[in-house]
Parts: sequence; structure tokens; C-alpha cells
Amino acid sequence: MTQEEMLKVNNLFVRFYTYEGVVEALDDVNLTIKKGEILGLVGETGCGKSVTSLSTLRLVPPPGVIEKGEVHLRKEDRFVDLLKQPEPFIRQIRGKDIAMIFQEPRAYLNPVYSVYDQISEVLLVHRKKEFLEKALTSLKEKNRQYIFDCNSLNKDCNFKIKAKEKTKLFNIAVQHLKDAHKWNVTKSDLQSKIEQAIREDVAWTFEMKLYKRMIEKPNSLITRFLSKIYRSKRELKNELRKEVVRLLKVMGIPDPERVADMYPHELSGGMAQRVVIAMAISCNPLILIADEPTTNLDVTVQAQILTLVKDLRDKFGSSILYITHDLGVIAEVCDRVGVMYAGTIVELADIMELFTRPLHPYTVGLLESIPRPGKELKSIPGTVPSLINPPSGCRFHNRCAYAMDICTRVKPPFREVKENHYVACHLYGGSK
Amino acid sequence: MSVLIKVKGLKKYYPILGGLLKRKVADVKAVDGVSFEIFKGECFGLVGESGCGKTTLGKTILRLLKPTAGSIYYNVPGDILEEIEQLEKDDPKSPRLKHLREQYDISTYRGRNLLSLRRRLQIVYQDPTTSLDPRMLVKDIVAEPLIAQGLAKGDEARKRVIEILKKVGLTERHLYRYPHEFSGGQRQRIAIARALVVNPEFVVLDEPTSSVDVSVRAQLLRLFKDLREEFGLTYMFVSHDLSVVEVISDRVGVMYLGKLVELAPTEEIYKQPLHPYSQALFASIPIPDPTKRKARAPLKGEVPSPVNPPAGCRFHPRCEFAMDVCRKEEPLLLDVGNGHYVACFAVAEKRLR
Repeated sequence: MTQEEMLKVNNLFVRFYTYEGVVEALDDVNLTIKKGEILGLVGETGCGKSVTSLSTLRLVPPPGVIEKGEVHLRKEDRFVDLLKQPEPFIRQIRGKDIAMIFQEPRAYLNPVYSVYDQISEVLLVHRKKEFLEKALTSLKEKNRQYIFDCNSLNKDCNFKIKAKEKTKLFNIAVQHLKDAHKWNVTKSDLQSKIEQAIREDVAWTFEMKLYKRMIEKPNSLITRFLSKIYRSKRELKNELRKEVVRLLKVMGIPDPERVADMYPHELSGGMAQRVVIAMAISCNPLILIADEPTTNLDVTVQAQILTLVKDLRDKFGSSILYITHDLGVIAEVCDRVGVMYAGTIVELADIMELFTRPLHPYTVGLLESIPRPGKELKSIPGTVPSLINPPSGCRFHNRCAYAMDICTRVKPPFREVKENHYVACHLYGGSK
Repeated sequence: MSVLIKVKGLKKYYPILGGLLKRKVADVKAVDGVSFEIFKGECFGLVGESGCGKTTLGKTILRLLKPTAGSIYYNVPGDILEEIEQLEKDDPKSPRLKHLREQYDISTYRGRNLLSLRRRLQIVYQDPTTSLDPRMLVKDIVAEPLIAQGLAKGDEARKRVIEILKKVGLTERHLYRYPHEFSGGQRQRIAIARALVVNPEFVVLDEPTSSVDVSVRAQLLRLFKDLREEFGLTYMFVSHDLSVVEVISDRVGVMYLGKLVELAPTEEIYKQPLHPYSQALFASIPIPDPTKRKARAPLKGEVPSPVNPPAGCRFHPRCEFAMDVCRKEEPLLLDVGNGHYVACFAVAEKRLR
């Protein structure tokens, strides 16, 4: 498999400076995500899976600091190191090029905004221009339709327009009115119709001018002030709504029109997760990071979401980083898997290779602790070490049955022992 | 095998209060007419999605909740059970039945009777972080049931606490620590010790492994197995993690929206679930083996609200085999052989096998 690499994480070190001490959360993490693949990242609680995903977006929460390392994102055929870019640039990347699905959809959604509000916010941040242009064209079309409407309406030839409206549109409308004698419409009716039309036209003209301004000078003070006027952006909202409904439909939500107006508390867990996924894919991200998206969901809902994730890859060719602690889910969706332990990636291989021929003792232990009927349950002795004072050398050595002298002293390098099979263990390669 | 617990027509409704006077406007039918038996020494697994009433059922059996209707018989001799059944059929108003139920049906117990019952029936909760008091030392947490039951005090209690802590894999060193000093797995061990210190006969394990990691989960499951052999316990294992239930249970019941839809020996139900809901449920378990990936059709739609469950079979709006009768009548839990019970018209008619 020689696919394009979309994201490269090289030698990433992250530390959290807490009161108890320095937590070495990530210790030399290396990862690559290729185009159109689902890369799984599996490990126990606190092994640094989520920190890895957060640091790719520079979202590590405060006591945490990215000490060193590189995160290269392929953008228009060249790699950009995200860790060296200024903050405004990263804000452009977040949600657009790299989108994230978080674990707890209810905590992630804002309870006081409706689903429509929240999804359209993402669209407005990253695709505002596109929607302004869409709104502009559809407004122009509406104007043309209006001429048609007006001319199919009326009869009274003596009617005069009182307003000092000089737009072409109305001149034409009046011309047509003079010729039409066939319809039975009273004068006052006609007058209110025309006046309403004028008001509409004024609003439309204003809206069109506003959109043009918003496209051309998005940051000027006057534009920003004008765009705050009540009901000044109706067409834009219509367009956004159409897109939100379309996204919800893609997510397989029944009755998307109604769901768009719901608030998060009205949604079930599975629905809320779908809304979050809809937000994540709304800007067609290059890379989608799914951080335990199904952990709090029931198996039947989980099955629905997993199918959805696979569809995203198949239909849109997204690259997905799928983080979970459930090996069953990994086996179900991933192409390649990385196993994390205490802040390092200990093994990375193709899914088949990893499940059939695991090399690292931790991976072996992890696979054996899956409950399987008829087999005796095995478990890894001991517990995950504290990352404040991690074990020296290989961080797994004090729980490892094969630990050698060298393991307590030297941190094993992460190397390729077979094709596409990387392991960080002294048992393999060099020393053996 | 003798029956340890027999549940009959058990219902638990939670009232929804509304209006100015906070009067009851509707019921959440959490458990709605469930009948089954648990045999002595077995592990009865109970699976289902969240909100289907598993936990409520577990708590109601222990009388931590008062059932709305139905009866629960714990450790009642077979002949008396038969007599009760006969009387219910022949003469539901007889004074003899009333007397028997007051004596044996734990859903009618109160006061001292209930307290002494608690010694025999215990529970381990889902999340040990919330079920253990953060301001109590381990020695006090584990000794509390002994003192409340009046079983032991002082040195005697301490001795028994140490004894049980050793059984669950903790040591004397841990006595003077607070729950927050322990890892998730160890906390769950404290919760188990606390449940077992009074020497119960029946323990409800309410998702005891859902808050811990895979490797710790395996340790806990082993512990449950060992303890069961050592103390001759009977378990009711409530979980939504089907792979865990498969390993530990002898028989499994599947719940959907407050009803038991299927009940069978573990091996049989995992090999061949019969109810359409169980089929969908078991098919959605991710198998930790990439060679066995399957193309599957996930269950459509969502679980309906238990306030207004669908008429007839509760699964019919999502069921591909739904017939007219499913929309009108409620299917009964019927034996289809080998101790396999299913509540489904399609299965009963042998259209689905």
C-alpha cells in the first residue's frame, strides 16, 4: 500500500506541569495517517490517546505543554508543520482540514443553541464566503421571478405608483399593469400588493448589497454593523438551513427538518453523536479524528455509528484517526492499528498482522484479556504506572514477563521489524 | 437445581408528576411485567440497552425499590410456591394466600423483615467512585454493613474486614486509606468486599466492569468467578457489555423496553438468538477479530419512550418480521425447548428459526 501520507506526527513530547509533579503524558510518539484509511489508536485510560489527538490540533489544555516534536499536515501538496504556525492559521485548520468528534456528545453540544444554530456556526466560520455567494445568486433569481408574479396579477390601468422607486423592475411592472385588463382586482388590493413588493424589493436590494459587501470587505466596521441588523440575512439563513438539513440527512437522521430545530437535550445519545459527526464533516475535512465516539452508546447504536464512519471513508475518502479502548471496535473498522501504553506507541501494524501476530508483550496481553467464551481469562499483572515518575527504560518492563536487563535501562527504539510492522521492544530487532 | 429467586409479573412504574398540584400525569414503565426464575448457584446475566429497565429490575428484586405490582419469592420451598400458584389460580382472594404472601413474598416485606433480608441480598454498583463515600476510610466503608446489621463490632468487625479484603485481593495496608487513593479496579474491589462482608447468598452486580479498562476488567471477572465458587454465591449480572456476560453467565435474559423478550442458556442464546431484537443486539457486538468482519444491517430507528410504549409487541415498529398480531397483542414468554424462552409471535409460529 503506497498511499499519500496526510498527517505525520514525529517525535512528539507532551508534558503536564501539575502540582503533583511533571506528568510525561506523551513520550516520543510517531504516527502517520494515509489518505483514505482508518487508523486505530488503542490503549488503556490515561495512556495518552486523547492527548495525541489534541496535540495534533494544538488543543492540549493548559497545564499541558507540547515540549517538542512535529505535526505535519499535507495541505495542497506540501507539508505544513502545525506546531510552528501562528494561532490564526491553526484556527483555520481546526474544524476545516482536521475535524474532531469528541467522546461525550452531550457535553460537546451547547445546551442553549438548537442543532441548526450549532451546525451553521461551523459553516459560517469556515465556508461563509461560499454561502454568501449562494445566497446572492438565489436572491437574483428571486427578483426575476418577482417580475413574473407581478405581471400575472393585475388589471387596473389607471394605477400610479406613489413611491419614488425608480428601479428598472418597477418600471417594467407598471408597463405590464397598464396592459392587463383581464383580472378582477380592486385598486386598494393592487396598491398594497405593489407597496409590499416595494418593501420587499428594498429589503432584497439591501440584502444583496450587504452580501456583496460581506464578500468584499468582510472585516470593515460598517459591514459588521450592518450585518447585525435584524432580519438582514434571511436568504443566507435559508441557504445554511438547506445545507444543515442535507448534512443531517447524510447522517441518516429521520425527519431532519424537525431535528434541526431541536435542542441537544431533546436528542438521544445516538442522535446527538450523529449531530456532532455532522458538524465534523460539514467542511469536508481531510482528516477526521474520532475520540471514542461510541464509548457511551449502546451496542446497536454503536453499530449504526460504525457503519456511518466506514461510509464516510468509502464515500468521501476521508482519513480517519479512530481512538478507542475497545479492541472489538478496532477490529471492526480499522485498517491499521497503533497500540499505546503509558505515553508511547509500542506497536503499529496492519489490522490483520496485529491481531494474528502481535509482537509486543503488552499487545499480546491486551489481546488475551479480551473475554472469550471457553478460554481462560488472562490479565496483565499490575497496573498502569503513574506518568509522574514513569519507569525507566521501557515503560512496560515492570509488568512484562520477558523483561531483560536492558529494558530497565534503555528506552527501546520504535522500529520497523517487518514490512509495515513497527514495534518498540528490545525483544525484536537489534538486541536479539 | 432449586429455585433461589422467583419473580412473577413484576412491575415498577415511576410516576411523572406535573401540573400545579404535582399530580401524577403519566408513568415511566421501567419494568412492565417480568417473570423469571434464578436458580441457586448460577449466574444470571441480564442484558439490554440503556433505559430498558435492567438496573431497575435488579434493584427491585433486592427491594431497594418498592415494586408497583408483582411478587418476588426468595428461597421459598417448592411446595409452598406450588401452593401459592394454585391458590392464585383458584382463589385469588383467599386469606391463606394473603397469609402466604405476607410470609414469603418479599415485595410485601417491611421494617425488620426487610433489614434481615438485606443481609442475604447484596448489590455492587456500577461506578465505585460514586458508590463509595469519599470521606470514609476503607475500614469503615467495609465494616458499615456489619455494624448496621448488628453482626459484629470493634475488633471482631475489624477481623472480618481484613479477612474479606484479603479475599478480594487487597491487604491490611489498605485499611486506613480513602477511596480516592485507589485505582478504579481497586475501588471496585472495595465495593465488592463491602457487599460480601455480611456473607450474602445473592448478589446483584450492576455493570460492575463498565467503568474499568480491559485488563482490569479481566482481573475483576476472574475475581467474581473465584468468589462465587468460594462463597457459593448466586449472581445476577446486569450489563450492556455482551462479551462480558457471555463469559460469566450460565443463563442470559434479554430485556427490551421493560420486558423480558428472551431467556436462554448462554451458549444457546449466543449461538442462536431467536427474538428479532436479540438477533440484532447480538449481531451488533463488535468481534475482536478482523478476520470475522461481517456486513451487517444495523437496527433501524430508536428505542421508543417507556412512557408510551407501543401497543402489542414493543419491538414491532422496528421489527422486520412484524405481523398484524404483533401490533395488537402482547406476546408471552414461551418455552421453545432446552429452557429457551422467547416472547415473539413469529418464533412461536415457527416462521423464524
